[in-house]
Amino acid sequence: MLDAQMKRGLIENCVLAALARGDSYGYQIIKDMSAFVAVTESTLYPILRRLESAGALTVYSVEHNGRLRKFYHLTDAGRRRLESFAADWGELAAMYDFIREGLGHE
Amino acid sequence: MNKQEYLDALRRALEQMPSEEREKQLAYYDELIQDMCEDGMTETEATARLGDPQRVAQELLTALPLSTLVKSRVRTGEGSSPLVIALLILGFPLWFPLLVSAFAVVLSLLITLWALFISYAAVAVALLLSALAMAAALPLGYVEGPPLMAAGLLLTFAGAGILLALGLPPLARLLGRATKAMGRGVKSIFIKKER
Repeated sequence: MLDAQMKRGLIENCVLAALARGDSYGYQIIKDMSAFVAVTESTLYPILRRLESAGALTVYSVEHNGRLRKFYHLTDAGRRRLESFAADWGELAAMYDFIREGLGHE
Repeated sequence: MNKQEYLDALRRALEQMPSEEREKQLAYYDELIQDMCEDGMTETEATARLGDPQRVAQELLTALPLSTLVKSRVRTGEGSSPLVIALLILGFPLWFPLLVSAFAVVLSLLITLWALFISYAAVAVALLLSALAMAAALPLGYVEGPPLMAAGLLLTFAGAGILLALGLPPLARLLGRATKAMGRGVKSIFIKKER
């Protein structure tokens, strides 16, 4: 099981990555992510709020079938955040390779 | 549960949240359920997938920043003025150490009780062991002094040991209950509202 803190950071960045492909709304984000991460509806909402107050995304409403649907848009700050995460992850990937190699030498 | 029932249950479970925040979250769930229905689910299926409203509310409340929660607590309380908030914050250096020391006192009391229990158990075990040792040594002639006195001592030790040992289980139960009660007491300080 992944460390909770780490998992939260990963999911946050998965949300950013989902929005990097284009603006999207709550249910669509969950559907896009569900193939890779098990994210429930109630975990996504706090993450969206947190990212919004951090300025990583903005929210706007679009009319759809006679109701309003909230769309989330990745800001430049959000994109930079995702880029720096990906850069950090490169370092982690190197560590991971080292660990895997160590396991190979049993 | 249909959509309206679900949202009502969620609203009730989130009543300690500031109303502005609560309405935003309800709007999010409203939208989600409608999207799921458009995706081919029935309202019942959609709400079942979201999960128990109580659990969802708990999750949303824990994810809320502490400052927002504290504000809503104070607001729902009686003296709902900024003064109360100011006093709470200014009083922090005062009541926090008090809380910690109260906790420490209870904890040390509990540790003392358990230590007493352990020494009591040790006495009972020591008495029984020495009775056993004497029973083994007596026939072999390893005991100094008159054998009759040794036999009397043996019986005394064994009797006292058994008597003390009989008291062990009820004492352990009593202490166990006290420990649990304290655990609950401490927990209830932190979890104020749970249904």
